[in-house]
Amino acid sequence: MPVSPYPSDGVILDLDGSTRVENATVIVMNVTKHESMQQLTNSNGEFLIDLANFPTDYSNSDKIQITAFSGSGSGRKVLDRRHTVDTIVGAHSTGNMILHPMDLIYSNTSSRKWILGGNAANRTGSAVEIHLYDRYNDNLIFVVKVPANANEHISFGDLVGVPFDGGVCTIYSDETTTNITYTGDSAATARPSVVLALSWK
Amino acid sequence: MVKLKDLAKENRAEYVSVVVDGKNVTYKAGTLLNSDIDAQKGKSYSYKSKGGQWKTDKV
Repeated sequence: MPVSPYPSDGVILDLDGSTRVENATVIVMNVTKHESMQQLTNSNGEFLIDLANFPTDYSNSDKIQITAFSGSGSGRKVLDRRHTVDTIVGAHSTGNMILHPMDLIYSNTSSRKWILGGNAANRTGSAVEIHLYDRYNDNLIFVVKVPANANEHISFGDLVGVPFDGGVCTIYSDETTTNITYTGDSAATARPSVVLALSWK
Repeated sequence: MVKLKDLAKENRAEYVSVVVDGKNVTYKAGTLLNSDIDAQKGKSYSYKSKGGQWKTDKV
């Protein structure tokens, strides 16, 4: 029998903060143990993932990260802020999340080998920050500020070179280029997709 | 067979969980989450009320 249940649940809401989003993908990752599970929200926008169902269960103080998105393919996607839970055996966590619009592009063609890029449309009345994290070690990689009601183009990775494997990457934002040194661990090279969590804050 | 949502009502629980095929299946009161799952008579289940600890009982 699995260890004591630890339900992690909530509702995925659209940007208006009230519309529930059906079939959004919710990914719950145990950052401490590098394990993840995912679930689609039901017709009520609800999700519940029990941390006891991770392949190696969970332990006190495991760091849990939750992200969500909807949409598919190389077209429109919406991502959400994440929230992190530090577990205590036998507890639970509840948190609703609001999706923000993001035309997200993954590309891995011969001419363009982006890891992640897209157009962030900030429809809120105040500036937001996009935080990009390495999902595997929870390192913050970069922060991009998007002004209120503005559009921002962001691409991350190497546009013409080899797929990003932990090194210097480039952010293109508002026509300016910033070189960021990513201090990923050596294992990053074994993770060719380097799955990243994009979040708004 | 007893629905998880009925076990939740009976115990005034926020969560009720049973093991199905080696995995926890958990219902949360007031949601549609796993509300149609049945618990078998004689099997163990876990439940938790708001602010309380997990407890186990038999259906």
